[in-house]
Amino acid sequence: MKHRDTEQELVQKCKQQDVEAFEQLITAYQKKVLNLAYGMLGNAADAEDTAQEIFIKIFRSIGSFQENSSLSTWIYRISVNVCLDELRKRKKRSGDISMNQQNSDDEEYELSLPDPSASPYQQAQKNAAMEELYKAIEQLSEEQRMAIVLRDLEGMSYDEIAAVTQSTLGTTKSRINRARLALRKILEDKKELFLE
Amino acid sequence: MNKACSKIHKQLPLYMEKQLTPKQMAQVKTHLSACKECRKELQLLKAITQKTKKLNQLEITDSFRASLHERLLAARDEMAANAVPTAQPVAKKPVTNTLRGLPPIAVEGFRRAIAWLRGWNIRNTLASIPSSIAGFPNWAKDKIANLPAWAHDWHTYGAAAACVVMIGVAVIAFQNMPAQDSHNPAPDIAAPVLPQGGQQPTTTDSSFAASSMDDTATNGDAAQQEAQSDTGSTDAPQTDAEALAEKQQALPGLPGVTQNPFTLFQLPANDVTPPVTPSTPQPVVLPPVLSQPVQEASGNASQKKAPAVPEPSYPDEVGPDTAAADYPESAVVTGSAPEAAPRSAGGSGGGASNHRPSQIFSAAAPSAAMYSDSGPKIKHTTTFRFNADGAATAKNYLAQNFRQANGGYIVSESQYASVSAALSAISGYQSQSDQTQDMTAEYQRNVNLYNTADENIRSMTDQAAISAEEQKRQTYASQLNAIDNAVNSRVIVIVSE
Repeated sequence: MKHRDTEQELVQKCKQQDVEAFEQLITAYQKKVLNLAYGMLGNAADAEDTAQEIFIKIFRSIGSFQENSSLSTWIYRISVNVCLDELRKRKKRSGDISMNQQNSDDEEYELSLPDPSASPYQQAQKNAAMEELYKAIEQLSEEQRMAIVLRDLEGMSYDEIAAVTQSTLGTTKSRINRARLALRKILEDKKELFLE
Repeated sequence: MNKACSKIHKQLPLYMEKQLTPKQMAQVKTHLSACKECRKELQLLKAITQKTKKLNQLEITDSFRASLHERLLAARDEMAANAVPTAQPVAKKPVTNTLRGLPPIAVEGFRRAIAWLRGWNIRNTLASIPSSIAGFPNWAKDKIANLPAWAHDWHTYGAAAACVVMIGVAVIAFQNMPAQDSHNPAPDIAAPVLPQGGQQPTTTDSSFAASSMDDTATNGDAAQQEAQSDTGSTDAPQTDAEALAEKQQALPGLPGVTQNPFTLFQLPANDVTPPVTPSTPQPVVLPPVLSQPVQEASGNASQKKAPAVPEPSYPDEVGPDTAAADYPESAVVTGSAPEAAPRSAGGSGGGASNHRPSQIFSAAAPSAAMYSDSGPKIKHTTTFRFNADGAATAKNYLAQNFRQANGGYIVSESQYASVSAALSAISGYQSQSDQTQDMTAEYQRNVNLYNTADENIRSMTDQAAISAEEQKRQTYASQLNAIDNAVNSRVIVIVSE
């Protein structure tokens, strides 16, 4: 309860454009937001830029934070939206070869073939399984990627994900379920790496 | 893979996380116990998920924090710079506020009319008619007596509304009447001679004359108003322009700025303000260059005075040096001493009452057009700036040789060069500038900014925004003070044709 009060006080200070209070407020969220961006964008440098963009956006708009939802949900919601925007911008810029495919279960997923030389995962991961996993996540559709990132990387509950994505619990479950199945399907040829 | 396994496979991710319904969980569990293929599939899903959760995560670096800090500061500054005051609905002003600015008699009349209407009832009024008017028909009596209550009310409200409309029209008409200040009857001195059929110059025609800084009382100051009232019998009639400008001049709560340093450039070139003859001339050591031109200038100046124009009398006139002793330096420096209001601090009842209540602010430059039809025309004006000592010297020199009017010293065009040289030679001289490029506009700009900030503060609720706006207001106030101080050390020379 005390923490909540402190958070509320900090929010009030942030609404007065107190940078120090804002930095204190986001301390607990910095790493989470950074890794959310990392998971969504797949590039450390882009993740840092986007994370900063997210925090600036939060700082600018915290005056309109009505406190109807929890602060973390509100921060994650902004983070997800900024990341999705960034992905869409990037798609327009890069002209990635991308296509939507229907799998055997009539589930639509996006098949993206990014430039291998630009993949951060190749540089970041030595483990083959991890590398394949990064590549697989990168091939998920935006929504599926978001679902996997929020659930597995951020460790959020289904309810929290539903709140952040402003979806129903059923939709959230369905989305995560499809994302896992899509990931599994992408990794079909590499399953030995995971079953070792 | 059979159909049953395919169905189970689709449910495995949710089963893995126990998100299925109990019934589904039981079905999947039963299937898994009997199907090795599906158990293997579940194992693969779990492995993938475990690996996903263990994906490397980035750490927050110092450079990230530093960069973010910089960007946050920049964002804050930008937000502060672009802050748009969130206009809150201002509480509705009472009618008395709306009436502010109207003559007191109009306000009182309006109040009484409203009070009378509140207590008035058409039923009683109509009921009294039959008894007071002979021959009032009985059917009318009956009609009135039998009118339903709503009809009485309707008539009452209708009549009341009509009365209010009529009063409003009367008030507006009263406001638009030509200036004729009943409170300040025309003094025995003639009103400033007007160039065009007696029309007063408007505020747009006026402006540049330096202030009569003797009027140090703050606007709205009760003592000031009382002093004005006391001396009102000798005030020149107040024009619409003056009244308007006095309203515009109101700077409520302006810290440190006691009086707008600019006053109405009221008098035309043929103004016959008596030449200043100091009763106790101060020893002024003039630069050598002054000797000849000054004599010449003086002569020319007297020739320029139009004898046909009756010279106004100033019943309680005091010499400029007396004024100089009584009033702030600025009053003398700016040449407004003879017509300076003795309503300055400590002088409310004190003697001279020959001032013209023309403390009007206007940013407009003096217009030559306003003098176009009669008398000598103003060609241009020049502001000479000095330090305090230099201003005193220049003032004494000019006061002894030229007549003062309109906040400056009138010189002819032929005199101007030598006067300019003389003034420039005075120790303490700093600069000269064309009046039209003077600080009047800058002053007005700051007044507007100050007033805007003031209004914003009143309409804001957000404390941070209020603080930011208050900071702006203080800045504008200090700028006004700076301009005010600068004006205090200047001498204006008005060049006539």
